[in-house]
Amino acid sequence: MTQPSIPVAIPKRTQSARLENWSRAFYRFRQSWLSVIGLAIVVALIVIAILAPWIVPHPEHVAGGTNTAARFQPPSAIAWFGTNALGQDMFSLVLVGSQVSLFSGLAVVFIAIAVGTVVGAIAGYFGGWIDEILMRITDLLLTIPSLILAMAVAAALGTGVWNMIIAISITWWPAYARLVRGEVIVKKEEQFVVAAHALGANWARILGKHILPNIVSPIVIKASLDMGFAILTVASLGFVGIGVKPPTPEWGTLLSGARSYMPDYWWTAVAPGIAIFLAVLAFNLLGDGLRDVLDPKARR
Amino acid sequence: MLLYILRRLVLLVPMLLGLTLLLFIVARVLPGDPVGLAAGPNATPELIARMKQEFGLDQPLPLQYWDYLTGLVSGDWGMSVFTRRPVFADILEYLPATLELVFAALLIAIIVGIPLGLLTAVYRNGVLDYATRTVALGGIAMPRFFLGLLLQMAFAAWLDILPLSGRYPLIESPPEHVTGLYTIDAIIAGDWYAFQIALSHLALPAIAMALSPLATIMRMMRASTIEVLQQDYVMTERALGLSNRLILFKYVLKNAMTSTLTVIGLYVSWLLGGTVLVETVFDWPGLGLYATQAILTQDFMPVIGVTLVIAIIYLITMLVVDLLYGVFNPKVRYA
Amino acid sequence: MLKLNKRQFLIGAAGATAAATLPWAANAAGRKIMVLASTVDIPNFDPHVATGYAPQWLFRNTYDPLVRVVNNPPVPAPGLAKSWTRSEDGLVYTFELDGNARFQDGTPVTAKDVEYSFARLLRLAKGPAWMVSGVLDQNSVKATGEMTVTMTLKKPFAPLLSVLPWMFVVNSKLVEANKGTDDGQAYLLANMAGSGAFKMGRVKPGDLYELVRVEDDWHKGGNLDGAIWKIVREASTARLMLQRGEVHLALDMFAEDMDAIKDMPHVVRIMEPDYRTFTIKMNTAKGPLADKNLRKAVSYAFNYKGMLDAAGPAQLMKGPLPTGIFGFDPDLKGYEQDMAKAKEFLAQSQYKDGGITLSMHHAAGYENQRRWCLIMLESLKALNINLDIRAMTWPDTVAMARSPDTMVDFYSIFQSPNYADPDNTTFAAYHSSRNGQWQNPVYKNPEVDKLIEDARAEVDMAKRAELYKKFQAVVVEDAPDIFGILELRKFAMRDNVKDYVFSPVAANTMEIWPLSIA
Repeated sequence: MTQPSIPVAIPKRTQSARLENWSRAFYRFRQSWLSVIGLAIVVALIVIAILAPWIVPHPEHVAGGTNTAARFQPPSAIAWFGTNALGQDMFSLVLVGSQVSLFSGLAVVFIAIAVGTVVGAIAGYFGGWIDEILMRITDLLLTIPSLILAMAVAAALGTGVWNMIIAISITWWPAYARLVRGEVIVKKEEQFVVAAHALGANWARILGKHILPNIVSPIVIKASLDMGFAILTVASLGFVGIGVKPPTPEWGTLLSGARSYMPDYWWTAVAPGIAIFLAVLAFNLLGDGLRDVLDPKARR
Repeated sequence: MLLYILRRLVLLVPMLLGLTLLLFIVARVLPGDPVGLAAGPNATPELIARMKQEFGLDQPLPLQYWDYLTGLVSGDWGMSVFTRRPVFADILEYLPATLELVFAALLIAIIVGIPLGLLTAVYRNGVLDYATRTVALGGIAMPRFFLGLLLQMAFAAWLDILPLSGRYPLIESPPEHVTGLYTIDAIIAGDWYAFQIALSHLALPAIAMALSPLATIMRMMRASTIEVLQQDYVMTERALGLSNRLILFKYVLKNAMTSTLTVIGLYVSWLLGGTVLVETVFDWPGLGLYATQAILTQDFMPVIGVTLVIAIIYLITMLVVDLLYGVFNPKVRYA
Repeated sequence: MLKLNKRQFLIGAAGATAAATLPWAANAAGRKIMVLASTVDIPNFDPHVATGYAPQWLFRNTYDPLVRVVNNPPVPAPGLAKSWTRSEDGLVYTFELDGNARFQDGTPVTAKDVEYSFARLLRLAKGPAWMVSGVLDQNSVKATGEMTVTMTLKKPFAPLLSVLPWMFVVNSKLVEANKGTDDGQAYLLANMAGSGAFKMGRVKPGDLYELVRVEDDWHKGGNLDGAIWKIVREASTARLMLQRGEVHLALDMFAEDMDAIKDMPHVVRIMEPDYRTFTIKMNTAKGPLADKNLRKAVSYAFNYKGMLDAAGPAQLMKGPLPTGIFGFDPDLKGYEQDMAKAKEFLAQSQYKDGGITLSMHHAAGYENQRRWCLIMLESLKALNINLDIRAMTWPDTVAMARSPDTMVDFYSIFQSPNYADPDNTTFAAYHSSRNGQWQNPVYKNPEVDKLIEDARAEVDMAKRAELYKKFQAVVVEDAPDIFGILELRKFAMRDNVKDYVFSPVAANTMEIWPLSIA
């Protein structure tokens, strides 16, 4: 006997609803060619940052090596972006410079998300005086001009990648705290949370299991848009002279040093300048695209 | 309404108190020996001790904070170790330069951004639309300091039609001080020549600052105009025979105002704090340059002062923006 | 009002703002104000305390010394003293003051003021006091008449007239009235009490200092109504300002800048040899570099060729003294890059395998020094030593040099001699009485001290040269510094600046009051 097959059964679900949303989102994303370009540049940047030490023609220059016999060579087939005051290959420096920029950008955004989410979730979930205190501190930090505060803190801590990351993160988490708090307050009232509460789940579980997973998309959108500005802020600190330790190549620092040679040796400034521009642009495009797909309401 | 304003103003007080405390703590945690630096080469220990006393650095911290707070209210914002002058006097001197720059940047952003946003919305998906949108995308991503350098190289070094840096020629005296904004002062004094000079110095840094808010305002204006054009009631009114032009004008004006307000709200802090970079490039003697020098010499009173001033301006601007929102959008309620 | 020149007229047609971009042209019709671009700030206005080139420039134009120095080769010229005589034994100098000399408050400069100033200088024992240490004391300079000053030396000192230009006379009544508890140091830190051609106008630390010609100035010469010391941190900006006529004189120019302005119209390049030395100081008192073998290892590892390449037209030094100066030993065996020897000395040090991190500072904005830091970093890498590089403002550097504890392992300096005598470099940079000063923060060797003192007092030139020869050998053996390079002095000037005469001593602190703008 054969088991009778179910004739018109409910179509078998091959994917969960969430996954289905994602694939639909990806379709929408592909519709916007600007976002695809952004994604392509971002992927290229990440690949370059990872591979840079092995693919650059002059890794020794990146480590601080000099070649004073070949100073200020204009861009050519040998040195694509020319050489600087010490005869170092700008192409190698700029390529490896992507490491610091991407890494610190990522680190800033991650720290900001981590701190901001914790603060925002607690404030939004508990409300009352906890909310009041946490949000007043957040508001306070939001009124302070972030670049000046970051400069002051970075200068006080001394040069170094981590000091710079910490300094920028201090000024960045409040924005996430506000975002997460708002989302948590909305989600708190929804049926599934109320249900979980009724079932006796404790607050950590409700926040971690039920609320936070449902507010990932606004955070992701903001994070991808912020990556670009984090990279820009890192470069800005480098430009005013509070950045990484030499000889670590960093785009803002390279640009700042190149100022002395403008306009005669323009290539020393143009290469890092365009690198910053491209990286920021790519993350902005990607962020715009992500916003369109994850938050269709905001689509314009 | 009046009650709302009052309530907001009262709420500013604890905000400012918290701000001063926060900044004070941050500043005192900074390591470094600003007095030793300021006393200069070969200063005696006695001189250093005397200067410390003069700056009140020999007292316990809570007392220093109390002194600072009472001083703030009476206009005594501490001494800058670096400039050897009262911070308040320094800020009064540098603030107008920064305000002039910020106003000019906002003005450019609004005057260029709004018509451009409108045009791109009306001629959507045309060549102009794509061109301006691409430029706008770039405008937000462009580092201000890099743009500043490029502008400097193009218009000062290469074309030689605009000044390289500074706010006014070194060897000349600026127009008589009324507002401290040289362009305005020149107009007040009726000095056309001074106005031209001030404007020519202002042009490049203002453009470097304006690009990002310009791009944002343009995008907002475009989006909101498209929305208006597509909305049902526009369709209805169009059906009723109101001319296209009138419809556009009526809604566009309202949208222009709200976009402008939003961008001002979004950008006021960004612009004020972000002058640091543009002022460094153009040697513009404003708060940003002052703060940068103070930071690099670990002179904390000016940093607190500048931050405080910017925060106050930010809070007041936000209050005004919120109120004006209500004027242009009656749906907003003051609760 | 304003007269348009041809260029403004032409550009004026192109637009109103364009015409406004040449306001400095109005200068020709208006006041004569000379603008100097420098990278260095002026942190202290006290002539008996402050050192460094920016303050010295200020003093030479706002104060007066008894005797000035002019021309090439440098010769003494009358300052406050219109004439002077020397006793036969060389121990007593008598100066007759110029009756026209007035302080800026209108009171005449008298012998009492001179006596007061020297007493204060030597009492404070700062600033240029070291130049006459052991030669003059607080009581050596006396007013022996209303306008007559007598200076009694404790021992013969040949370069006396060469060091007097750096000792400025203050208004004794004004300083006394503001004496405080620190001999007027707090007052003179930010106030002027001089008789110079200019008084202080706008003071904007970090930005500019304006000098304004004193009314009825008693100095004869020059047509300047004022001057502006403008701090321009980027050499490229200074160069462009010069090109546009916004700056008349750019003081800190690099080799690249000189190349770039070679064919610039209306700009004159001044490139002259002088005795300015560029060295890298080591912390011989504290930290790993207190180990002489490590210092020698570094001295052999350093890439001198790279330093020279990065500097532009210059020559390498062999030892502590500038090449060619009296007493310089041409047969001196200095250091050159030799990795085998470097490793040999490293093996004899306490840091056989390297593995340490040293610190190095350079003056912020001084591009060449930053490059040398990077060259040092590369050189040390071969010894498995890391280098931590930082930029520092000048006041920071001075503060850091005060004690071995605050001093970094390496820092880069340049020294412009104030008098063309080996005594200047030897005493300022290697005598232990100068410890705590930026020129010699920590180096101390009794044998070297003795040689310097003996040479300073020696009148027999052959014997003196012999002492300096010995000095050089001892110092090279001790390796307290990386002996770097002698650079050409490089300035750039607008061609409408008239009457400028290069002088190889302290060329960057020139007197500007005798200059004119056409």
